[in-house]
Amino acid sequence: MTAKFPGTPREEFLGRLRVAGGADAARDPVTAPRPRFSQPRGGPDGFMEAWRALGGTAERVPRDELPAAVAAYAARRDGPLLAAAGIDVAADLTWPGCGAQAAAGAAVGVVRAVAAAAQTGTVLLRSDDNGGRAASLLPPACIFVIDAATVVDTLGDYLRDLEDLPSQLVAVTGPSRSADIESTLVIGVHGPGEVHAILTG
Amino acid sequence: MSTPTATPVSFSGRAGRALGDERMRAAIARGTGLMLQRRDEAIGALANADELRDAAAAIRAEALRRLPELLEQWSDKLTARGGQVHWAGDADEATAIIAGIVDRRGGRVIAKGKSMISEEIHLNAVLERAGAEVVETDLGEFIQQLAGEPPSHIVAPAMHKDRFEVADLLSVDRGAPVSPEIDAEAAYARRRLRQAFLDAGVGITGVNFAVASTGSICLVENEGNGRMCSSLPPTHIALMGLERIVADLGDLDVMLNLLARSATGQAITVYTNIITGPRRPGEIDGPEELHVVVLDGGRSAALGTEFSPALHCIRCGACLNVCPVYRQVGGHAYDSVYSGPIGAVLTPLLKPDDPAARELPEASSLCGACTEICPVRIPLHDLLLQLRHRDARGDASRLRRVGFWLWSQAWSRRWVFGAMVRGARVVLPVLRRLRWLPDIGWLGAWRRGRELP
Repeated sequence: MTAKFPGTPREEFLGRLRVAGGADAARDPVTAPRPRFSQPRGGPDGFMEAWRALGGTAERVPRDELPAAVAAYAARRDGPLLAAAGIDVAADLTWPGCGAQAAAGAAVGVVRAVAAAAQTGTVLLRSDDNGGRAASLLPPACIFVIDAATVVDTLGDYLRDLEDLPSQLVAVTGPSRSADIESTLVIGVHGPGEVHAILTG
Repeated sequence: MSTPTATPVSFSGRAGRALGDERMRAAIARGTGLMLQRRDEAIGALANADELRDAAAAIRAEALRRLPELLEQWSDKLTARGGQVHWAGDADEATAIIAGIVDRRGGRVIAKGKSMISEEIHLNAVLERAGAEVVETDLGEFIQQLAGEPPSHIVAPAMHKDRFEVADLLSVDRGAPVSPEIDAEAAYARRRLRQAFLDAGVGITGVNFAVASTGSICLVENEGNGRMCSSLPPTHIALMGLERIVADLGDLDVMLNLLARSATGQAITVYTNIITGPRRPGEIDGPEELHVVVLDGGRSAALGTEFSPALHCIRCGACLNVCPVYRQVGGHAYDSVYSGPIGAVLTPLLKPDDPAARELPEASSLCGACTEICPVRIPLHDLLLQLRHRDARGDASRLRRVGFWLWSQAWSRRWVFGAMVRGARVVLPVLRRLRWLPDIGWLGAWRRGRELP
């Protein structure tokens, strides 16, 4: 399949490594115990605390109040609300039907997270579950909807149990940021600078 | 600002010029100081940082021990998920593969995420010669692209510039003034680069880790530009060194827990992208094609040698921030993509035929701060010493070789060491009165940087 590209055939490439790494390969396996990252900050409350510390905002609402909570957040912003496919809220635009240019013009995106990690304030998005990639990426503000029952302690706790991965799994930890100029923190460089977590249930 | 004068060919020449650049030195002192302080806080907040570093060192060593097997497993898994894996022996092969994909997939605009390895193979120059417009989208890399300079730090490419220099560059790009305020500068970059993401036919990124058991690549970043480059254009090309592999997601988790803490002092970066193939049937967006190019580029020559721990590096940049040499002269003095202690080790390994690269292991006081801070416990100052030793062995100067041998023998014997210290106590006051140190051959270069105690 890759023959039409220049380059080295895999067997030749790996063969060189087998020769070069012969001395390494003959060593005994290198092992060390895997420590647990023991700073428990559990549950939805711990997640919201960590998320806020990163500069995000968060609230917890009963499941049936989700549409109202999304609408209230969007109403504070000037511009269209973009909903990822599969999220049951009233929105001006729906991804992917609206197209990338329109999505880039939205003021707020709303997406569903498959899980969250309390310790670091991390939400997890799957390309096969949250209605795509662009709605959480292009607008300057994003709402992440999280079922409170899916909050785990660490990203590792989520990763270790995975059997099969979607084409893209993204762990988002707070607003987009950069410290590339004078090592000074700025928020919202490419991704959303305002991030709001709504935990339901 | 860049000067029109040619870059000096020797490290000492470039370092001398850097030492005269007060503005650059102030920026580097500030940047490295802040990064170090944030790193110390983040590592200090871990209850078990030492265990974590032991585990990370073992994971990297074990990944290299099983390298061919893990790369094979990883490429089988990724291929089964629709990804296309390419193997490049050297920079020419890697750039030819990527230029071929760009040519076939079309699209004049290429959106590029920060990737040190793409700098290593001078990818932008090759693609631009072929007629593409390559847009660096990481804020620091964008600034460096506008300046026409290589990055000066592996994590913060424009660390050596202050906000006023950045404003000058952005103003030229805009054709109108951009205020020298950091928020305004970042806002301009966001607007300016947004269209590139939407227009790009191809996105190019680096790879932080490849996970053998799942066939994934993992890309970490804070701005979201890496996620844009790997999500929006119809083709995503990722370029990685062959040593990026880890065995499974548990190992990845350990590495992720150390990388951001060691680099920027964050517990984890804002975006951790784990990519396993292109968009699948039923998914509503994402690239149609994913190509991963695996580069050897001289790395395999270090395998199985005393230098293989250099391949454990996860590019956190902590050894640059802590290095007394880097903190004085900045990254450009190294004249290599990889600067600081890890650069002084890696560069001569990757470019064994380059005499300028062989000089870099001298750019160290061997204080050992790099070894102490390395999250994966690479014995950096030992490797620097071994590289000097290897260079001396290959050196035509027998005198230097014999001299170093005698020196090492003397310093390994307590009584000789004691006698030398006593002798120095007698000789130094005389030399100090004469204001003189011997200036012969390479000893002269050593002497010029030092003063009598």
